[in-house]
Formats: sequence, structure tokens, C-alpha cells
Amino acid sequence: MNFFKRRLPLLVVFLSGMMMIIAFYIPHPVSQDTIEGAQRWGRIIKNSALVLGVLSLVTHHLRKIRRKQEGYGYSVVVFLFFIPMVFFGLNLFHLPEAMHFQGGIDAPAEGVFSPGFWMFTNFKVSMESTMYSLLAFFIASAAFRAFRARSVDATIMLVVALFVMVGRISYGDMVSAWLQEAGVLPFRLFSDGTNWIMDTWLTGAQRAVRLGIALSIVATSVRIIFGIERSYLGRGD
Amino acid sequence: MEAEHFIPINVVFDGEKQIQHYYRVALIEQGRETMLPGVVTAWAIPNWFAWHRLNNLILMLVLCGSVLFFIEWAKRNPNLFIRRLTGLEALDEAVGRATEMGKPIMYTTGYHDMDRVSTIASVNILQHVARKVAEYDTRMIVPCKWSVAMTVCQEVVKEAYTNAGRPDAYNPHDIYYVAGEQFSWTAAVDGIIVREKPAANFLLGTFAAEALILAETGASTGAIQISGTDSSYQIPFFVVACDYCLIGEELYAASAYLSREPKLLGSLKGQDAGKAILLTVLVLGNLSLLLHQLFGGGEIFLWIKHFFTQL
Repeated sequence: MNFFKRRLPLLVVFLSGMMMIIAFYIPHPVSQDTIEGAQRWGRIIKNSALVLGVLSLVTHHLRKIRRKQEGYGYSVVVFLFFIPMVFFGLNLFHLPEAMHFQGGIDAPAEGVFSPGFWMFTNFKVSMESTMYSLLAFFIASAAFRAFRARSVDATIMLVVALFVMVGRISYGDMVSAWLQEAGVLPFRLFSDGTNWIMDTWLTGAQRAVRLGIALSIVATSVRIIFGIERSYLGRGD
Repeated sequence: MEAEHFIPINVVFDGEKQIQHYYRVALIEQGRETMLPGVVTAWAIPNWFAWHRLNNLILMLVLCGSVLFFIEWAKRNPNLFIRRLTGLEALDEAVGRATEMGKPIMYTTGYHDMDRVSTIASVNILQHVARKVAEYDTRMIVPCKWSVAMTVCQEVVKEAYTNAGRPDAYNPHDIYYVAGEQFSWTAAVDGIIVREKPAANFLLGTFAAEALILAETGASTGAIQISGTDSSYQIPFFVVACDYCLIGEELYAASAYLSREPKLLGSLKGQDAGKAILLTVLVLGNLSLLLHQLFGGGEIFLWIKHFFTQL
């Protein structure tokens, strides 16, 4: 049993990892087709595992409703949208085309109504846009908390952040245009200054972070491929 | 004297069928172009080795060799120094705080599935957090965006509870799939944070635009937040909104830091050696280009530049 629980997964990881690395350096179609096949199988397995996810989602919310746990109303709402979306999205029962209905979530033809597409665009897309728009408010609240002149470093960060914020909007150039027109500066103060800060300071710092991340990924991958890191198997030994 | 010249081309092969290519050759000399008569035909032959990636292979062997060397070296020299990571030092504090307040802990492995190394690194930390949670008898909620990550998290947490001697306390219903889309998952996790009001939030993995939404929602409930990501664009948001933040490579060093296993610490040392090699090359490369620009000549300078340009 130890072979199937420990050694076989490690062997599969080693062979898969080495195969992917070697294939990167072999452009021959034999190698590329093998890799493409392996990746295709990976996608199949990943999407097949979606069944487990859906089962988990359904059992979790059914449990909450059955036990009438706090907030079980939200679980009812989940099923109110989940069931119709699955029904129309998967086109489980072919809708009568003579009645100008269309199944699935693809955009319907002219004069045809697709309930799945309608729910996708009017519910999902709208709600996702709403969630994304929350970022604007959260950035404001986070900036309000973060940009405090508590120390020299914090003051420098505050000044630079304000400079960049002004430089990113058209108002910055409107305010400082007179400096360039009067010949005081040969460049636009806020927008060119912001671009310079982003291209030099920020890019330098980001590249340093990314260099460390890239090396860490290499080291972690080596540990996983060679079986030194086994925590993902469930035990730390 | 005959000279051979070649230009590498990318060719898409149609299975076993070889594709014939037609060329016309032109001689360009002192701004004048002379088209040679006739059309040249050639058959493309697939290479067994991508020679334009030779420099990449050398660098990969050097870096991997460095990691493996120091892993072996660490077996003989187990007492390796690793600098303090405040985010991981606060792990005990966060779990203890949740236990005292009688509130759960929320742990998320991020935006990507188990095919990303960052998620594997997060799962490594989850193992240690789960063991602490089992010892302290606190509830831990792990909402997952991917089915495969969910099954791995369930297995890891279950094993952690078993190793802590509390297999009865493991609750598989607290590790569940919430949604597959980015903002659907974000909304679900936000809902968990607002309703369950966890005392500690762990946001470890790769995150995208949802990073600040999750962190700010957690901050609004007063939870202690430990975050860590390799997404360079999201690090500033986590630094601002969270109490502790593991920046970039610190997320990947966490498993070595928490377990203190010599082999894992050795790999960190190998990684640092690789970093030292790259920094040396950066400095020497820039110096050589500067010298070439100032004094000219020296094909070696251009060779160094070319070696590290096309990777």
C-alpha cells in the first residue's frame, strides 16, 4: 500500500516534471505532440474534477438548509440561480426552436431568445462588474489608512504616491502645462515625471521581486520534482 | 572559400508531412540589393534540440545544480541560518487569538489551481496551520476556487489533524468548493468573512484583482490578517491592508522556515547561491556593455549580452 500512496505519486511527479523540462528543449513534433497530449489529459482531469466541486457545493448548501443554520437563506438563493442556470446553460431539454428559444449560453440569433445567455449577461456579468467596481472604494479606504506621514519613509511614500496619482490623471498636465509653455521645464512635470518614476524606481523594484520569485519557483519545482517536498501528498515526511 | 549561412525559421509541421519552402536570395552590399536569379527550394527538418535555447539550458542546469548541491550539503551541515519572517512568526499568535475569541480561522489558497507552484507553497503552509488549529481545537474554514485544490486541502488538513492526535475533530464540511469564477469566488469568500467573522484570515497564494477586496473586507471585520503572494502587482495592496505580508519568495520559503528541515533549508541556500550568481552576472554584464560603449571592440562584451538576452 505504501507504494501506491507514496512511491507511485512521487514517481509520476518525477517523470511528468522531467518530461516537461526535456520537451522544452526538443522542438521535434514527437516531443511537442507528447506534451500536448499530456496537457490535454491534464485539462480533462481538471475539468472532470469539477464534478467533485459541484457535489461539494450542493452538499454544503443543502446541509445548511436542512439544519437551518444561520444564513441558510443565502443557500436557498444559491439553488434559485444554480438550477435554472444549469438547466438552460447545459440545454438539458432541447427548447422548442419554433417558439424562438435557444439553449446554452451562446449569443442567440436575431429574433431568438436564450434564457441562459440572458441570465449570463444580466446576472453574472453585472454582478462581476459590481464586485470589480468595489475596488475603487477599497483603494480609497486602504489609501486613507496607509498614507500617513508617521516617519520620514512614510512621508516620502506619501509625497511620491500623491505625485503619481496626480500624474495619472489629465488634471496633472492641465495644472503644470504652464511650466513647459514658459520654458521652465523641457518636459511635462506630472505625466513625464510619473512615467519616469514608474519606469525606473518601480520597474527596478518589481524586477528585483520577480527575480526572487522566479528563483524560488525553480527551487520549489526542483524540490517537488525530486520528491524532497512532499507536503502536497498530505504528510510532511 | 565557401561560407555557410543559415537563418533559423519556425515551421509548423503537418504531422509527418514535410513542407517544402521556396526562397529567393538577395545580396545586400553598401545599400545596394542584388537579387540572385532563381528560386531555391528547401525541406524543413525538425530539430531534436532547440539550439537557440542552449543558454537557457546552461542557466537552468547551473541553478538546479546549485539547489541540489546545497541540499546535499545541508545533510552534513544541518544548522543553517534563515532570517526571521515576521508573517510566519505571527502564525501562532493568529491561531491563538482565534482560539481565545472563540472564532474560526479562514484560509484561502488563492486564485490558481494546484498546477501553480504558489498554490503548492500555500498548501505547505496550510499543513502547518492545520496542525496548530488541531492542537488548539479551533475551527478552520477553507473556501476553495478549484476542485483539485479542494481535494488536496481536504487531504492535507485531515492528515494534519491525524498527526496532531485529533482525527475526530476534523470536519470535512469546512473545506468546500465555493465558485469557479474570479469574482463569484471573491463574493463567496467575502460573504464568509462578513458572516462567520473569523478572527484570523490567511490569504496565501497567487491573487489577482480580488486581493484588495478580500483584504479590506477582512480588515473591516477586525481580523488579524496574514497574507503572502507572488503577484508583484498585488503585494502593495496586501502590505497596506494586512497585518503581515510575505513578499514574493518568502511565500515559497515558508515550508522550509516552518519545518526547519535541513534539506529544505539547503534548497533555500542553493536558491540564494543562484541569486548571487545572477547578481554577479548582472553587474559584470552591465560593466562589460559600458566598457564596450566607451572603448569599443571586444566581441566578448557583445557575446555576454547576447547570451543573456535571448532566453
